[in-house]
Amino acid sequence: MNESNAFRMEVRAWLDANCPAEMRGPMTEADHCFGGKRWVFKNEAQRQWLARMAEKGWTAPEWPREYGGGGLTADEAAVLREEMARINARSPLTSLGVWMLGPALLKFGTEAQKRKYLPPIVRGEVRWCQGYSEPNAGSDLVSLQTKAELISDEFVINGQKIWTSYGHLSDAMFCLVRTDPSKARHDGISFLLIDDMSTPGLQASPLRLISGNEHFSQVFFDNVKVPKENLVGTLNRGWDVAKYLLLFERQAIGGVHARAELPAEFALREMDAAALRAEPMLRGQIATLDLELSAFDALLERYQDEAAAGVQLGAKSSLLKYYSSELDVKRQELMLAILGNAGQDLEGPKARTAIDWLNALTTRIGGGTSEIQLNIIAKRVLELPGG
Amino acid sequence: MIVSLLISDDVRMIRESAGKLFADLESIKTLRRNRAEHDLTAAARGAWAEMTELGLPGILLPETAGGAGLGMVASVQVCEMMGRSLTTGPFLSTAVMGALALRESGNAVQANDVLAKLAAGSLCVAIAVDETSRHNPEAIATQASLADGRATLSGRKVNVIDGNIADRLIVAARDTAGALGLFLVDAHDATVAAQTTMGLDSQPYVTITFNNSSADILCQGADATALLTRILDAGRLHLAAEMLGAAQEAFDRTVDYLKTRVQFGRVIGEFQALQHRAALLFGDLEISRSIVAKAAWAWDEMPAEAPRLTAMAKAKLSTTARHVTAEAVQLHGGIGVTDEFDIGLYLKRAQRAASLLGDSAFCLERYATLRGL
Repeated sequence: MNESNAFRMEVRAWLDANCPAEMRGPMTEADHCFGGKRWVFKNEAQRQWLARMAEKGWTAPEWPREYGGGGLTADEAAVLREEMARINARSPLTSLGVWMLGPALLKFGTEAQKRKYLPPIVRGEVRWCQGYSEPNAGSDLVSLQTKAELISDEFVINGQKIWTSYGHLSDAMFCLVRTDPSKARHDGISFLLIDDMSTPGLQASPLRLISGNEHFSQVFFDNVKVPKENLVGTLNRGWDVAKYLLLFERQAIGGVHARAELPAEFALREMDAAALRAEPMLRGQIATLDLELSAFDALLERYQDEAAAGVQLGAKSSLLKYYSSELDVKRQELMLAILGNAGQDLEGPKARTAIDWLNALTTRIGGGTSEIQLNIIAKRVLELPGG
Repeated sequence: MIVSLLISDDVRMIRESAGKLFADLESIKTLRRNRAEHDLTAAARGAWAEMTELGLPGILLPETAGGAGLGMVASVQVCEMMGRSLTTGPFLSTAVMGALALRESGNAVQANDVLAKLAAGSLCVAIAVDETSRHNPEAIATQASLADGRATLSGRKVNVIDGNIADRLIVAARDTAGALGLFLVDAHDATVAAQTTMGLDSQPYVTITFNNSSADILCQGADATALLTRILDAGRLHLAAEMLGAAQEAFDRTVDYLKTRVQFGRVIGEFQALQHRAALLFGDLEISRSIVAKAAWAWDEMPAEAPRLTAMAKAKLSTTARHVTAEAVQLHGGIGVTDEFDIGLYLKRAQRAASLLGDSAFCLERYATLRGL
């Protein structure tokens, strides 16, 4: 038995012993554990699962142990992912801190920042949100106008953010602000941490969507003060951090739906086989999309294998973002079709699918629209000219 | 499953040496010459002599049988490189389907003799299955009369890949009770008549008639049904790899063209309408490459998953390769539809390969069935 197999057996045994039965199986949006100061665990199993995984540092498997992470190599982290997938273990923590802020701090943060912020992220104790988009800076993020003036030892922030995921439920925010208005576009933007969402002058209110969901919020800043130590990276060079992180965001979004139920499974659960055979066109649509989603899974696996072998994914992460969101919309549309009219009853037992479908529409807009992802692939991967 | 979809150094060597050989051979020139001279024997033989020097005929055979003892992850690389360069040769029929059929047929006496010659590149094998225009391996009417441990075959097979240069034919036929069998026939026998015309891709389109042809019995009944499915699946996997190669090359040439062709005072690759089309083709190819890799991996490492993943790969590539190569023609504009320009050759190769051994609809149906739908 080689080393990797020994590790696999160890992980398998640990997961078997420690992953509660309720934490195994497909995940809907309601099953995510976001953690944070105000988090109310759905049940004891969810609390236990987070605590046990955090104890091992496996909520952030590849972060160094000194900051609370698992200290795993890329290969070992891949083994952990595979073993979790094998028993259908749910992710113990859905966290922008793990996906986004952590990688930023590990690359650009000071030692003090790493020690202060990373361990509570691993433990799921602080829920972070991301303040990027503004009413007039959506796809064109670099035109953002929320400004932060450095006055003696503090940044004073004024402006507005929008499309902040769970801003009104979060404990803290990392955000992009304009620190030098005289400079255009990418220059003059800085990456700032706001440790406390209850800082005076800061107000976050939920934004109701067509699905009825209140996932996003608007955040208003009126002379919000944060200490200058909360700057990450170099003043006016925040875009370097943001650009680095956008790759992680796309990968994270790209990975979220990877384990969602496939259309064939959904169809066989909701319809009997004879009814399905009686509708060959529908059956064909189900098979087609089931195949497309499974093929996309193969892409995810290949890219994960490449990452484990040390190949940088780079701008190809835009492909993951593009396909995961586009295919998810198609998947939700098809599931809604399979349900027929029962799927249209908003107060009936099948209402969830319609809501999920409407929510899915946001995923191909947020985090860079599908069209922006295609621009990125054309320019950064295929190196086509212009713009 | 770590690094399962990445290739090992051994396999990379096969890929690179095949790729270099085909590039050096300038296969497209050969293809055009054979087409002009209507030389369908040369068209089918293609680069077989040079491929034999690399030891490729026996790539899937065990070393004890004179082969290289490699798996499907290796052999699909050869097909991908053939697709990239439009190289021809009886690799699919002989080294993949023929070798697999003979190795697993259970008739060791017949198989071993043929396998040794096959591995040495001195004998070509073709699989005769189709009798209907659309691929349908269940619609087999060729008759096998059994007597004294041998068979006599009568019937007509269409679309026999490399059938015009085969020395031996592996024929699917039914006995008087309707049970399927696989039989080995000497293609040079006087009772075997091949009619060869030119296919869309300048490759042979071969119809073979058997008139009381004497045959060895390879296997019968449920064994034959299972083995036939396996041979066809192996063929489908390798056709998918070939289409991947052809589509990738057509795409790469198209991206180069977008970077150099100037209209309206600028390089046309600056136009967002074309950029988005190119980006989507790239994504489709990346997904296609992953599923071919995963299906090949399954053949070597997780055989239970191989049929479903193979159906998926052939369905996906039959759609993707036709789409990518048709888009390649479109994005080249007028020059793309001229015979002198090579991009159309990729379109035709993709179209032919998509149709062989089950098109996207056939493979999607197979996928649906394997998924329990």
